[in-house]
Amino acid sequence: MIKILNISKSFKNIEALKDITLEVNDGEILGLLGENGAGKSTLLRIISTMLKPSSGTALINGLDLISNSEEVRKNIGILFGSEVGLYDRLTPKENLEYFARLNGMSKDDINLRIEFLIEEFDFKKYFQRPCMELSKGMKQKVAIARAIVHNPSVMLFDEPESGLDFKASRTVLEFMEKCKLEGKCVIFSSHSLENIKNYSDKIAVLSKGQIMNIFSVKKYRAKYNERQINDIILNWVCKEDKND
Amino acid sequence: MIKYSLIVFFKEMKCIFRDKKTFIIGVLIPLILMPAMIALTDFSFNKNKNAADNLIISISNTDNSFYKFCHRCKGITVKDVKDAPSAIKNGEIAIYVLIDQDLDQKILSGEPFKFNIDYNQSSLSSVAATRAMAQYELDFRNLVMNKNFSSLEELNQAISEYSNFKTESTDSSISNSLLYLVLIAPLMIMIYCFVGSSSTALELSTGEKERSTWEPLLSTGISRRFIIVGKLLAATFTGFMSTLSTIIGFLGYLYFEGTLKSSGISWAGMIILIIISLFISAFISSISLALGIYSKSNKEAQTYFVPVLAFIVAPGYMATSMDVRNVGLFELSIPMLNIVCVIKESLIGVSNCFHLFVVSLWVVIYTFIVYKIACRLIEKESIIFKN
Ligand SMILES: Nc1ncnc2c1ncn2[C@@H]1O[C@H](COP(=O)(O)OP(=O)(O)O)[C@@H](O)[C@H]1O
Ligand SMILES: [Mg+2]
Repeated sequence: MIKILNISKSFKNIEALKDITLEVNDGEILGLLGENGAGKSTLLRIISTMLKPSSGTALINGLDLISNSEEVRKNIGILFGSEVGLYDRLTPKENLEYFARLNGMSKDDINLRIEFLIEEFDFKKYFQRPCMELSKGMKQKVAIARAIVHNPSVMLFDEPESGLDFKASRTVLEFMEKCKLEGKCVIFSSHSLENIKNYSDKIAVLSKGQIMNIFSVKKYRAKYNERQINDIILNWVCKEDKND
Repeated sequence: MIKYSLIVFFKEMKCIFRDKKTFIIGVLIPLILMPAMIALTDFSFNKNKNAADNLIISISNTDNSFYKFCHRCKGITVKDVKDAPSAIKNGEIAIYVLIDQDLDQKILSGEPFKFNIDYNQSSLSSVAATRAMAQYELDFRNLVMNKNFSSLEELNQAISEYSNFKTESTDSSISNSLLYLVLIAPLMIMIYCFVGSSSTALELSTGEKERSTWEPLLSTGISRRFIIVGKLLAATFTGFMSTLSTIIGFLGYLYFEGTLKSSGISWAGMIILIIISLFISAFISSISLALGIYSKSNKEAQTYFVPVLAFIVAPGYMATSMDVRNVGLFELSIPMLNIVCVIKESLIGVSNCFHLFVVSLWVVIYTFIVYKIACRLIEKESIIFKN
């Protein structure tokens, strides 16, 4: 579970995030909707401890992000869109092993986990070939497996479907849903309104580093039709400032 | 924990060795480069060896003991030419020896005397001939100096007995090409050590960024300095491997050619060279790694690398013109200058273990400092997420 408490982040003179407070429970997908430059990646990078917040903090499974960053990282899996980020000369198995070992897993755990992932993703046929010989779709699957090799309880998806063709993006999104069903806590950032609406439980609209609104998709669906929901959301996405 | 660094190290080695290109550039080429160079130079030096074995010279004055001496030497043919400079130029003679008019008087009175040797500086065979000539000159001096000849007859007597013994210079088994290569071998070894470690270190850092594995790697549970240590080890090892390949290729060739024993290669010198190359590898690797971490792409890193390279090489270059026999602790503390000093020392047969120790210590300190800088860089957000 993720608890974000008053996080702000500035890069020199750019205020990328302003006083963000959020909560995501286990077994829940939070959709982070925003245009390019809204601050989605920055927020996810802060949660994954790649960036330090300028102020505020967050608790990941109760662990403080700032004081306990190395432990926090072991609880987190990240998946990016277009870039698969695999070592071309290593086989899928070696890629997975490498990341598992760097996350401090024991040999037995690694073997069990990889067995499981082979079944899960139907890897058997190409598990012994170097990644550079694999098709893009296969690589994407390996990248997904890599992200969860250490079985993290928190998953961050940063525009995971961008740059992928229809089938591949479907694979990723369905995988995301599966994570949720397994009880993981998921944040999914995207600029696709459709995907965010279809896969999230809660939506946070981010614009210019500020959260414009957080709402439950279910509740909105009970009140409005799709068209109305779209209009409301787009209104927030494009709003200049919260206060005008 | 060293365990994590080793995980990184072994993974990098696996990647490096799976790439044929790295293997060819890092191992295969250094292995065959030196033998190929020896074979080539041997070919051209064989011609020169002829010139040295069969010296054709001319002497300024003919009525003296040195002229007689030269006639006695089997390897020398004395020609009388009118215009010595043009004879040298057109290859009629290899060497023109200008000697004192009153050479014999000087010998008898025990005064010093001079030989001026004129030769074609642009011809390799002529250069080889001067070497042989220098040996004959030495023999002559040994024969006549400090002997207190009482008369010219006695001097001539000594000369006429000379034919009994042989000059050694040219038919000693150590070939000219070998001498030449013993001189350039360390240079080649250093270059390969340099290239091997820097290219690997740059690839290990910027390669991660270009393949977008950098962020997933940094977001694993491992502390970032272990990543640096692992990569540093991998780059150092690769540079060292190239160095060893060069040395093995060189010595292997000499061994199979049968000249290893007579080559005069000092084992202590070789060992010092190997140890030093390990330190150079580590030093260059750490610098390249820090640069690679700082840069966004390999291209950017390359542009930074050129001035940095100049900065590293300049002190080393200074050392090549220094007399290394009296270097002090100050010189031994300047990076690269100190390394070149130790290499030069070992080449002239001075294997100074204390100097080796001091230099090693400094290189370790410098490498550590650069490593610390790299650790700083890898923690900086503005560098990891440069755009
Ligand atoms: N490393 C950085 N240095 C400076 N500015 C940055 C950096 N990363 C992001 N920004 C700025 O922060 C803002 C948010 O960026 P980002 O989080 O990448 O947006 P998104 O992922 O929503 O497209 C942008 O204005 C961007 O220019
Ligand atoms: Mg982004």
